[in-house]
Amino acid sequence: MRRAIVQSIATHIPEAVLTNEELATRFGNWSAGEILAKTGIRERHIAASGECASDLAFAATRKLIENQRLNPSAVDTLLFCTQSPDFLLPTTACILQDRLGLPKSILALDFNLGCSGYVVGLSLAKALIESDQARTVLLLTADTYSKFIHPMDRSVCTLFGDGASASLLVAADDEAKGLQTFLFGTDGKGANQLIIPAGGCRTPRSAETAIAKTDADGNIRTADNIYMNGREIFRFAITTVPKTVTQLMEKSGLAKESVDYLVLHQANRYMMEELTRKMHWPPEKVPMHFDRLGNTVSSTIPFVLQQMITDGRLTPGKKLLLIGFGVGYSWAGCSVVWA
Amino acid sequence: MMARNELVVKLAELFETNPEHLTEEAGPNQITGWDSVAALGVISLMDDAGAGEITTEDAAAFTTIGAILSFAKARGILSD
Repeated sequence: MRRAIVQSIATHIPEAVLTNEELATRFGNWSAGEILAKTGIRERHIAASGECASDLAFAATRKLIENQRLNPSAVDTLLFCTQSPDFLLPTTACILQDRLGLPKSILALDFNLGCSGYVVGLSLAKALIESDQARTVLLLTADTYSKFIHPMDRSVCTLFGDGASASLLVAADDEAKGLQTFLFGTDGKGANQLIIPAGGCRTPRSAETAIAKTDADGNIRTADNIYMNGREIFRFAITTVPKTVTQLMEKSGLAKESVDYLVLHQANRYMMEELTRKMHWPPEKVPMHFDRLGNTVSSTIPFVLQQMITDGRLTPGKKLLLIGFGVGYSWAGCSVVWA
Repeated sequence: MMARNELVVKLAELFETNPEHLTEEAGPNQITGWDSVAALGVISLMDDAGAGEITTEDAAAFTTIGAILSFAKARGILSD
């Protein structure tokens, strides 16, 4: 049986950097050191005006094509995970197909997920490859949350950064390697806890939605901006992620000792340290890579994987669990034997 | 299970303050160290203590020391 494997990953971040020093100046009552201590983030990259998620995804994909000497004509599927599309319609994946010079015969689609998106995308790619509907899949993730963040809402502008990833998935003959077992979860009761209230069909943007309001913590935002209830997202994460990891190990037939790395969505340092402690995982098995990126939403996991490839930790045969979780609520996990 | 005083000491460590300052009525406005990250710590502390499923409503109700202690008592965390 064919097995889908991740053959290569490339990433891209925009040029502009938002440092803790700049945020400390902006907010006044929070030093750069305190921001670092609370979040584990030193800086985040911010897309320029007019620079969209598709531009970041395009740049990541060009790097992948060049690194792999990939012939674009070999690609038969393009999956693009974003919550900041270029337009409401058409699908941004169609624009990327043309811009990347991919064949007109491909399947190209967007899917709207946040921090669970990469793992869900791997599942879609695996299903297409292993059912013989695709042979070479480009899985792209990109977001520019910065465009939705009010500059005076420190609850989110300290955390999120813009970025993109491109993963190339192909078929391999060795069933023991590649993408193995998946697990999913959805709880739409959490929809209002991380949301941009206006701008969709339910509540179109208007003069009223553009009115800035100050919350009890002093954060300023409009209904056109991202709202995140950090406390509630944390509650969701610490009650959901440990169970998901346990269920995934059971479903995969894996013991903790046999897993080389547990790669979690990189939300922020506090959440990752708390999850690691609660699940009793050795910290060296739970890689972190966000201090110069921030939370890049669906791109955090491929950023970690690429870093692990670069520093030599991720080699063929390594067993991984990947866990994405967040906005929706939506969560997904998978076991991987790196090929 | 833990004694009420033990939980108060843990909360004081979390808020980086003296346990004596943790009156039943005290909340984020009275306790300087009760910031957004410490609020996450309260949820984590209750979870560690074996509170069971902590709902959205439970977490939203952690607004005073008294509310936290009442929750802990209702969930059988406190031994006295």
